[in-house]
Amino acid sequence: MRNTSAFLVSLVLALAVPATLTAQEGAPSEQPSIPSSDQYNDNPYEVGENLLAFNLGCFFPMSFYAPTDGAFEDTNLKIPGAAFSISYLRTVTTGFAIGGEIGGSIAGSVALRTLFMAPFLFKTSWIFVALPFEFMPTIGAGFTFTKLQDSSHIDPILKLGCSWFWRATIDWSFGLNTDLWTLGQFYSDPKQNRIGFFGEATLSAVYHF
Amino acid sequence: MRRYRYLALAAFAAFMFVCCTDDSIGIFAGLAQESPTDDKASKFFTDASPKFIAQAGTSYYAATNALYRRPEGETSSSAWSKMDLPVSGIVTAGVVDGATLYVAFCDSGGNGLGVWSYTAGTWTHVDIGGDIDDKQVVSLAVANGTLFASTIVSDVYYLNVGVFTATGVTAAGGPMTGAAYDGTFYWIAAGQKLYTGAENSLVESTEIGQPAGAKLGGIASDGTIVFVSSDDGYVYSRAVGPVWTKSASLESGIGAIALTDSDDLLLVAHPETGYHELDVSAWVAGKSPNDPLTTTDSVNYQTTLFEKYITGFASFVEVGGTTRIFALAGGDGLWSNSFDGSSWSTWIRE
Repeated sequence: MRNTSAFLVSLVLALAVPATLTAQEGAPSEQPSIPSSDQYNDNPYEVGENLLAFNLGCFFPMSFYAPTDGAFEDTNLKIPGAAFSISYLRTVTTGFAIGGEIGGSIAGSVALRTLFMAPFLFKTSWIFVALPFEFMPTIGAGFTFTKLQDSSHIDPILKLGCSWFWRATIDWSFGLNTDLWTLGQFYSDPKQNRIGFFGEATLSAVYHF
Repeated sequence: MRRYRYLALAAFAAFMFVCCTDDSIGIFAGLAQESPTDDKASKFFTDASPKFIAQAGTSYYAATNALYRRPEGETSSSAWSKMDLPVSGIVTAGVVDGATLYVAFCDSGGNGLGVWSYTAGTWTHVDIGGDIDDKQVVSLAVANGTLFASTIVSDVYYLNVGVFTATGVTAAGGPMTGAAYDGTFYWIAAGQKLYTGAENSLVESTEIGQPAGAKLGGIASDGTIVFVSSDDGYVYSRAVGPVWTKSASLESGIGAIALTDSDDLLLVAHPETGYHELDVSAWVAGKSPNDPLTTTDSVNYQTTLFEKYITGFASFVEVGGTTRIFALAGGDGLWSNSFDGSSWSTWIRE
């Protein structure tokens, strides 16, 4: 119950903060309107545009793969967990951006332990636009700080995903991220090695500047 | 610029080194081995400090301030039921002798409400008006069919044909932590002292090599050999004859002990770290403990009793021959684990 409450409070804050920022920038009448599609070129994201995204939502442990056994295993983690992240992207060519992401995810186990993972990612995104909607396939790679009880580990991670946004204002987009995480966890004892598969679905607010 | 790049790389490598623990069990591998520990947990023991667990007939009895019972064969979360008490008070101690459950009660002011026996569904007030009837009884123990009761001022009595009678142990400096029988004499551990002799004439033991100068955590016997744990970190063993030897140092502060019913494994509790196992089938001086991996596996231990404050252990044999051991965790409920003759089931919360 406490986790659920914390999650809901965090969700409200995540959505409220961007809205507050927007409101502070001026009266609604002064807010620039979104250009109609005929004012954009095929892809409005020109070089030098910046995107700052705030993401909060659910985390879905899927499976572990044991390479030495050649078998998939149950994660014994409860579904859903919670995930959050902040990412920054900057367009380097039209419709293509690079940047980074930091975040965290939490999931409880059947034996009442809590798994925490904090990924640090380098990201690339391709941006496709059909106003007022935007579509962004993304690839991220980096490492994850993983902690369970008294154990911790640094693991390489590959994150594939896609974001769907609705461009609400010239400054803000809102939408949904879906991601698949793949983590390799390697130890000196090969029997302890595992490949972890996780899913993530988060609500997202993106600030454009 | 290149120097900064190397510095950044070095910092990253240091971060990796500091943050990684190359444990014997991988994080994901450990998760994959987990089993539910709370699926059968009763609400009665949530965050509770159980005072005793006992078996009479085919039922288990356990108490916090109230008294609960569950049939041996039922292990669901609703298996435990609350029992009606014969007096308006709280449970302070309990033990089983044969088929009879003995329970001591006191009122909210700490005044004794007597020791009661429970047999075949009937409560009976034991030794009404006797020497300890109005005293708070804080500990009950049974050895060789004799019931011992320790009062809050550390006077120890035994039940002699329905009458609580002085044993000779008075103001022991701490409540009785247990009783044992070596085939000839009784042994009582209380405070920092060991008492031995016939039940009506216990005297302080002064044998060479026995535990001394530290609080005694618990006492157990297989009928011949007596084991005593001491706050100094050692388990002491007395074989036939007055010869005491001690284990290797476990860790200071060790407390309650219990022999599993096969009598070859001694469980030794520690208030901060969990528990140790001592294989006592071939006792030698300097015996070293095992990690608790006979009764469970690493992942189950890490997710259950590791770093729990275990105040007591008990071991019983069920009708089908299964051995079930219980651990009483201060502020953390009641746990059990069973042995079916070939393997342990791992710890779960009762």
